[in-house]
Amino acid sequence: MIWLTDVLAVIPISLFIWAVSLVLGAVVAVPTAGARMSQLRPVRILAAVYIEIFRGIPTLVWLFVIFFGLRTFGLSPTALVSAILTLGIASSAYIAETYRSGLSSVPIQQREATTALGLSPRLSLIKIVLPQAKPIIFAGLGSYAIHLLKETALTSLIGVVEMMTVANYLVERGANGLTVFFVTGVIYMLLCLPIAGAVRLLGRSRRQNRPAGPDSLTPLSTPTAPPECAAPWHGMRWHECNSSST
Amino acid sequence: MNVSMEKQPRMTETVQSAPRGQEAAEQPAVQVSNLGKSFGAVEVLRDIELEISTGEVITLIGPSGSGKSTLIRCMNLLETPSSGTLQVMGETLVQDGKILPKRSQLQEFRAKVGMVFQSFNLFPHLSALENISLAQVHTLGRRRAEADERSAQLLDSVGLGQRMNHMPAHLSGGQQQRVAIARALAMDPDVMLFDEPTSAIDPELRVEVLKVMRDLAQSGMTMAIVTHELKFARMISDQVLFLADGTIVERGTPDELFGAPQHERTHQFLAAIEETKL
Ligand SMILES: Nc1ncnc2c1ncn2[C@@H]1O[C@H](COP(=O)(O)OP(=O)(O)OP(=O)(O)O)[C@@H](O)[C@H]1O
Ligand SMILES: [Mg+2]
Repeated sequence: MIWLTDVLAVIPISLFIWAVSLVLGAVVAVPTAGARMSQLRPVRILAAVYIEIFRGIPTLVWLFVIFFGLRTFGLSPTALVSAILTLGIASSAYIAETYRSGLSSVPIQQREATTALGLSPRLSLIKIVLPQAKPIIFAGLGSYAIHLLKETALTSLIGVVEMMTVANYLVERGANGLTVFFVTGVIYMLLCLPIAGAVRLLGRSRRQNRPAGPDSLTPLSTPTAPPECAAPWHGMRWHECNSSST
Repeated sequence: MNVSMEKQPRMTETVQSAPRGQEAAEQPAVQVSNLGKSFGAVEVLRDIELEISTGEVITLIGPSGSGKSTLIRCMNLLETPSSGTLQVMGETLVQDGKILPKRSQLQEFRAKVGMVFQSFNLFPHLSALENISLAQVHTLGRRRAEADERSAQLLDSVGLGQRMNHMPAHLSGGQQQRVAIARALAMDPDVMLFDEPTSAIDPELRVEVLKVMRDLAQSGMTMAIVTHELKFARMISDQVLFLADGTIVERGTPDELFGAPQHERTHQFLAAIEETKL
């Protein structure tokens, strides 16, 4: 198993591509989500087209388009740059949708309540909407981050020296393919575990471990309302999505 | 609903209107004239004429879809009227369907008109106290400690002094709505708007909210209420307006409107409500 050290040695490269793409995606996704939810229809449509193009066309195709295709324009990005650019842009499309679904999960009535209290839209977003959207956004980000780590394996196809490239090389040199690829797969899996854990920690609301207060022992009455009434349901939804991430 | 309330002279009314001088007596708190509202091609409100004097309590009743919510939401510009004029506390906010103040002024104005929603709309991630303090700090610029003190006071006054640190999900509908009322009152509003404040609450818990509203009315607050609690409306209101198909069909004192409705439409509505009570 001496070959194992060769695979382990390039873990930092896989993680580097993953981390930079994820951050790039998460940052670019902010204006993308903003545009997707814009009041202006043309802006909204443009963002929707961007998102669908990058989600609908396989990442591998984009990888080749950027690595080989940009040469037509006299640009020759290195394999590593192409990898990060591709995965970053593809991520921005996915993550923008994650942001959007998180934000739109907060009922419009919450915004109306802040408007009626004279809060600015900015404060409303920061103090009311984002805290409620956070658990949903982080849940989406978490599963995407795991997906993305596995996507980094694609970059071996344009010659980035990452885990799969090394594994391939070793097998070509006569190592047992089944063992090498299986072990490499397990390494991917083990790398995913802490990511899932970290994201779960980040998404946890500050309330989760907090006691309700000194008066929390008084018996609680269940909020009840007809189904058409929104508030208690939203209350429940908030509650449920917190506890589901425990 | 057993909220006993005799129409008492409003003691604080004189206190409240005193500093505003004589103008306040002449100037209605809310004046709506010739107001119309359409959603796209659908006309939801037309020719609305309405005046609420300072310290007055008006109730809007009417069948579902008649435009009650839309009208009350126009009064704090959650909906923008399509036409007509809206004045609140002497300030013209809408003229010929155009909002006059700038955005920042609008925020100030909104804080002065409290709104209580059917579905409470408390912020689920904040405790009862934080729900009430938030806008005091961010809209009115109060210091946190000062805001919290006021919030605690208000929670006490709506009978929830023991529930300060509870999260909304851990409060009953009646309790949540009382927190929502306290939250609106924390802005020291000139007018309070209520859109079916008890409709989403279990019948046996409604009375605790109605009592708070009754106390508020007695303290001289100017109020506009949409409600299906006719008995309560009769007790609390100075003026009742019956809305149907986007217009005010009939208006009068509670005794006039409930006792001797003039219009067939009003008659039908009141009879229908009576019937559902059987
Ligand atoms: N945002 C909107 N877009 C389009 N139509 C709307 C909108 N809001 C309300 N309407 C329509 O306006 C009409 C009046 O609605 P409104 O909610 O004011 O009635 P309401 O008297 O409050 O009824 P309810 O007793 O059911 O609450 C309804 O026909 C409704 O469908
Ligand atoms: Mg309504």
